[in-house]
Amino acid sequence: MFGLPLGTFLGVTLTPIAIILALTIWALSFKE
Amino acid sequence: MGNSIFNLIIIIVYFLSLLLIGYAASKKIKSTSDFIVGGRELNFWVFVMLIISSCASGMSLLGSAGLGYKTGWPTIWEQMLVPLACALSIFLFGTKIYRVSQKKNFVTIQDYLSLRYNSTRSIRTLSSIIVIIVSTIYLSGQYTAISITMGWLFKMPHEYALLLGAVVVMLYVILGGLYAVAWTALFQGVIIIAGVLIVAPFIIGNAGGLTHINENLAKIDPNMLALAYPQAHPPVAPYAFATPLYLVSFAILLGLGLASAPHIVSNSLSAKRYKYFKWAPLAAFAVYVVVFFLIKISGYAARSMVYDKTLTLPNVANAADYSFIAAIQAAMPEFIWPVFAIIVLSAVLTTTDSLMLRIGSSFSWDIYKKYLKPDATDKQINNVNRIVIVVAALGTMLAAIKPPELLAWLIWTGIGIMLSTFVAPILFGLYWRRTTKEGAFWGMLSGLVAALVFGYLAKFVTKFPVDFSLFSFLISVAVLIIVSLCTKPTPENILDETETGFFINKNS
Repeated sequence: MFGLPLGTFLGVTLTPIAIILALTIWALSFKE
Repeated sequence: MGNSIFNLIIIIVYFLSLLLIGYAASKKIKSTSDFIVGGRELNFWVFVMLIISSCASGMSLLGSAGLGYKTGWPTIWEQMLVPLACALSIFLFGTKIYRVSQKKNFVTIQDYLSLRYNSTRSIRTLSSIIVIIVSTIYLSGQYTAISITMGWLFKMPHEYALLLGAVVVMLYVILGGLYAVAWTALFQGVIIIAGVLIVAPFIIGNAGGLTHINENLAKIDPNMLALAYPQAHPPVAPYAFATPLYLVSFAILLGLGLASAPHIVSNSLSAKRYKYFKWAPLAAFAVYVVVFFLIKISGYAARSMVYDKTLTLPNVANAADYSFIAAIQAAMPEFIWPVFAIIVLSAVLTTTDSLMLRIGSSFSWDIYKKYLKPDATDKQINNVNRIVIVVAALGTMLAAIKPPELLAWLIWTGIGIMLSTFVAPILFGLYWRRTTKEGAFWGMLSGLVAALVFGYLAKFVTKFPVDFSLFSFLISVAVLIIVSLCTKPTPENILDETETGFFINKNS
C-alpha cells in the first residue's frame, strides 16, 4: 500500500488507531 | 526575494496580532495565579491547544521533517510518541494533580511535590533549579528554529531575526502571563494546523505522490521503509540509529519524559473544569497525530525530490533541518511562502513562551516567594516573574547569537535530565503510597547526576545502543524505590489529601 511493505503500513496505521481507541475508552469510563 | 514589502506586512501583522493578544490578556492579570495559571479558567479548546503547542516546538517541526529526511519511516514512531506524550501528560499526571490543585490552589508543579512529600525546602528548591536550568537550555534551542526560518525566507540577518522573535515573545509573556501564552497558543495553533493541512498535500503531490516517494526511499536504502533499522551496534549506517532497542528507550524518553516536563504538565493546572480531562487526551492526540504525520511525510517528500534532483537543500551542516521549508518553496507559489513561514514561527513561539513562563514562575514562586521573601505581595511576585523572564529571554538570546557547538547535545541532555529527575518523583508520588520524601529527593538527585554522567559518556566516550537517558532514568527509579522502602512512610493524612494510590480517579 502506497509503496510500503504490508508490515510497515499496518504498523503506522493500526498503532494510532489503537491509541485513539484506548483514549476513547478512557473518556467513556471517566467519572466527573 | 522580490516581494519583500508583502513579506514585511505579513510578519508585522503576525507579530502585532501576538502583541495585541498579549495586551488584551494583560487586562485580566490581577493576581499571581492569574499570571501563572491563567486564573484557572481556560476553556476546553484553549486548554487542549495550549498542551499541544507546548509539546510542538519549532525544532520538533523542522527537526522532525529533518529526521524524516535523514532516516525514513523507522523514526515515524516520533509522530505517535509525541502526541501520546500530550495525552499521557493530561490523563496520567494532569487529572490527579488538577483535582488536588483545586483544593490547594497550586500554581506550579513544585507546589504538588512540596505537599506530597511534606517538604518545604529541599524538593522544591532542587526541582525548581532543575526546571530553570533545563528550560533555559531548551529555550536557547528554540531560537535556532527562529533563525533558520526568518533568516532563509525573509533574508533577514541572523541577529535581527533572533532579536525580533525573542523580544515579541518576551513582551506578550510579560504583559499577559499565561492568559497571553494560552490565547496566542490557540491563535497560532489554528495557523499551524490549517497551514500544515493545506501545504502538506501540495508537497506530497509535488514530489510525485506517496507511492513514488516510498519507491525512492527504498532505492536510497530499503530499510527506510521498515518500522526499525536492523539491530546492530554500532548501527549499520550513521543514520540507522533507530533500531528496535533504541526505539524502546526513545519511547520512554518521549512518552514519559516529555509528558512529565514541567512546562507541559503545569498547563493542566489552568483548565477551567475537571470534566475537560475526559476528552482532552483524545482531542490532543487526534489533532496532533494527523498534523505531525504530515510534517514527517513532508520530510520524506523532500528526500525523494532531492533524489529526483527536483529540489536542492542549502549547503550547510544541518541541511536536513531545512527540508520542510525547502519543500514548501518547491511546492507553493513564491508570494505565499511567508504565510507558511508563519507556521514554523508559530510552532517555535508557542513553546518559547511556555518555557519563559515556567522559568519565571519557578523562580518567582518557588524560590522568591517560598524561600527568599515569604511575605511578598502578588504584585511583587509578578514583577519578579517579569524581570526573570526578561533576563532569561535576553540571556538565552545572546547565547544563541553564537550558539555553542554543543547546543544540540545540550538540548537532548536537557530532555534526558527531565526524564531522569521528574518522572519518578511525580509518577511514583501519584501512584505509589510508599514513596517517601527521602526517596523522591535522592531519586531526583541521583537521576540528575546520572544523566550528566551518561550524557557526557554518550557524547565523548562511547556510543550506547540506547539513548543515554534510559540508564539515568532507571537509576533514579531504583534509588527512589530503595530509599523509600528504607525510610519512614509518609503520614496517611497527607497521602489521602494528595489522593495518592494506584488509581487515576477513585470513583471510576
